[in-house]
Amino acid sequence: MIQGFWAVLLNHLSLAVAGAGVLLLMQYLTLPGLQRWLPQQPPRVRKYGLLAWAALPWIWLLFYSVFVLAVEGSRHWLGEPPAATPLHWHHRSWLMLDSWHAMALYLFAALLGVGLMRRWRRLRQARASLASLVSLAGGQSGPVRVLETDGLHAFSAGFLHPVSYISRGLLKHLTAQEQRAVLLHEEAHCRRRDNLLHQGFCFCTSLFPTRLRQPLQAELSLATEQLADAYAAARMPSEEVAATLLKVARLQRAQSQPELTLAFFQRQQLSHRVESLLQPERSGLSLFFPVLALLTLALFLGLSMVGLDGLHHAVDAFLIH
Amino acid sequence: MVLGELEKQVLNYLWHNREADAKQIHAAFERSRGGSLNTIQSTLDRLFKKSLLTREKCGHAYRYRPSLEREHLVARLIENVTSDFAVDGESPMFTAFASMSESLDDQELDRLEALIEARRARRQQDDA
Repeated sequence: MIQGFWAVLLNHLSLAVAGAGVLLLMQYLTLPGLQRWLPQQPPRVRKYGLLAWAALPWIWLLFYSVFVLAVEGSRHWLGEPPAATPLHWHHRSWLMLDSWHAMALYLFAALLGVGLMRRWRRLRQARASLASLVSLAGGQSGPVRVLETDGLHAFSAGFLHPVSYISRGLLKHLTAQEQRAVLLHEEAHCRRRDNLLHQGFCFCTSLFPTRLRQPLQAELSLATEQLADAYAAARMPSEEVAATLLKVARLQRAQSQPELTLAFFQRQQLSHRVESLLQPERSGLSLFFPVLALLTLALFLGLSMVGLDGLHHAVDAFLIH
Repeated sequence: MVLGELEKQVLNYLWHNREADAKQIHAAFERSRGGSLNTIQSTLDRLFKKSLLTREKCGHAYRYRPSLEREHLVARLIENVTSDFAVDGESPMFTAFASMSESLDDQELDRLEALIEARRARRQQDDA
């Protein structure tokens, strides 16, 4: 059994985890609606809407933990008595290691550990492959690097300092204007740190079953590709960006060895991308989903003191506390 | 996949010469970078275990050949780098790519081409 200040913190953390579990359940329940609503929205709303939606339980955990640490920690380290709280626990300052509070913490630590390990292993593999790739196919420096290979490749890689890569094979097939379209598209991914966002999204949705997670990841991918297209289209005629997309698609179809056509520039639903380039983006709803997500979070935070106490006692009715 | 400096040099040698045994590779590298025959042998063994080389026993020695062309290895490395969403073999980005390739027929590409041409014509009209 843990007693005193650390027991208070861990009890709070177990409640935060329980709250995150409730939010996760809310995410499951709202997922079908989200999947119907999202495709009708402009790419920016889809991107930030998905990110906000996926991050909701984690933001809640962070807010609650920081709030509790600030209130309880400051009083503890200043030698003051514990803060007055609406929570009327009878075991606030002691934590049984076989109670549901502790079980929630064990489960959370295990899930977090496995999730972080998988992401870390994936990052290490990607970094090693990138180092091998650069030394095999070209090791230039700078924000754009040309890979000395005949395959048709264009992609961005790296998380904090991403870099654009384009293959000599693809460059050979494109005019100067088309090359500019591809490079502007990749530049957008680098400037917006899309790889990092994708990693964060993968981590946040790692507790979802694969069949639910994959369509969401594909939706985020499409949104970021469309936004990168729009970035290029803001700096050159949009129909030329669309024509380049189409040309790369045709080049890929003509390629006799499909494994040599891993061009990220071209890896999303082409029709959606070309059509959204040729039609002006709808506006007006751009802040709707992020605002809704923040309001939900605020509501949840507001109700949490009462709600979590109720939840706590409801769980206590069935499990050891 | 991690490739050491000597592994890359050996691969480049074999891509250029198609087939060799450890002694031939050692002889080729002896003047330029030094190193023992054992080092070359263990490098070839590592590349074989990474499935980048195939080998065939000829007398007492193995003769090695690249199992992947350079372009294919580069493509595989790019796949490793870019499949950021991939966890345990699942990769929505590749799924999206595959579905695009399968679903987009010539008719659809022609339709998109026509849309782009119409947009170009409108822009030219506006500019005129």
